Amino acid sequence: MTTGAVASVVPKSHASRWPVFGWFAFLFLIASQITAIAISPPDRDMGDLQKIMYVHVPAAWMTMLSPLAVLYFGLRYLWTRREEDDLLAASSAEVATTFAGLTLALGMIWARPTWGVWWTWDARLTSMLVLFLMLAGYLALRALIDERERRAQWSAVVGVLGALNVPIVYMSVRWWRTIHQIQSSPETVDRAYVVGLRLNAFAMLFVMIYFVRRRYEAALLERMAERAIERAALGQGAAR
Amino acid sequence: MSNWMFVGAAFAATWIALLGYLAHLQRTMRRSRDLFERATKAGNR
Repeated sequence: MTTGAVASVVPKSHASRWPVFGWFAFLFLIASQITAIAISPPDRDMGDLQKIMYVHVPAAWMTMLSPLAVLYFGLRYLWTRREEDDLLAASSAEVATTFAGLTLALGMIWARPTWGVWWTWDARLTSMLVLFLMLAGYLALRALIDERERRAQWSAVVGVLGALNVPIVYMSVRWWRTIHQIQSSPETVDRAYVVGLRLNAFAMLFVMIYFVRRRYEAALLERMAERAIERAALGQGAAR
Repeated sequence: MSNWMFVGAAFAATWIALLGYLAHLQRTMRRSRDLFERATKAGNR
């Protein structure tokens, strides 16, 4: 990584495209939520509680998608040893942890009126909790290891292991007898809810991309600052 | 609690999480920028 890399990535993107993309993502999310609530009729069984689907299901999809980014960039780091890949993996993991926590909270809010309990040790809920804890463990590991290369290597390995849990979370509702319904998708929900679900899924995807990108920019700047400090210290040491 | 209370709680939780993370991002970005500017100034001295 060079100073030139930062000069080309951070200031340019900060000055123009990405903040605009962020505004677009959030405005699109607001519009999608309003549209979904306005056009979807109450569900026959759940009534208006069905509307929680528009936040819970997209958040769950992002929780399963972002660890795949951690997997991809982690493997790329192990292959190329490029520091940018490590920073991208770490940024994706932080965003994934946020979405995992949100998914669990929304699931509990939906579970209380439909199942009568806030939490049950169901296969889907438990595997999602395990994913959340693995992601939190990934972030804790990064905070604990000071040595840069060792931190990147270990966290790449933990990121890969964490991502292996994603197919288990996804398939848990089919592999085990669970109280949780099967995967919600445009194929499994009523046609009246498909447009709202699609809109909110794309909106949440845009928000996730924006979060990962901005977190990466911050991490890149921090890393460049550390490099500059190291260089300054080395220069002072040589001057003495 | 009525159904709409739970729906409202879910949407509120979503916005608290997203805006909370956005605030964390802005803080992190500002801190990184300050650190970068200080470090480059110190390096130029």
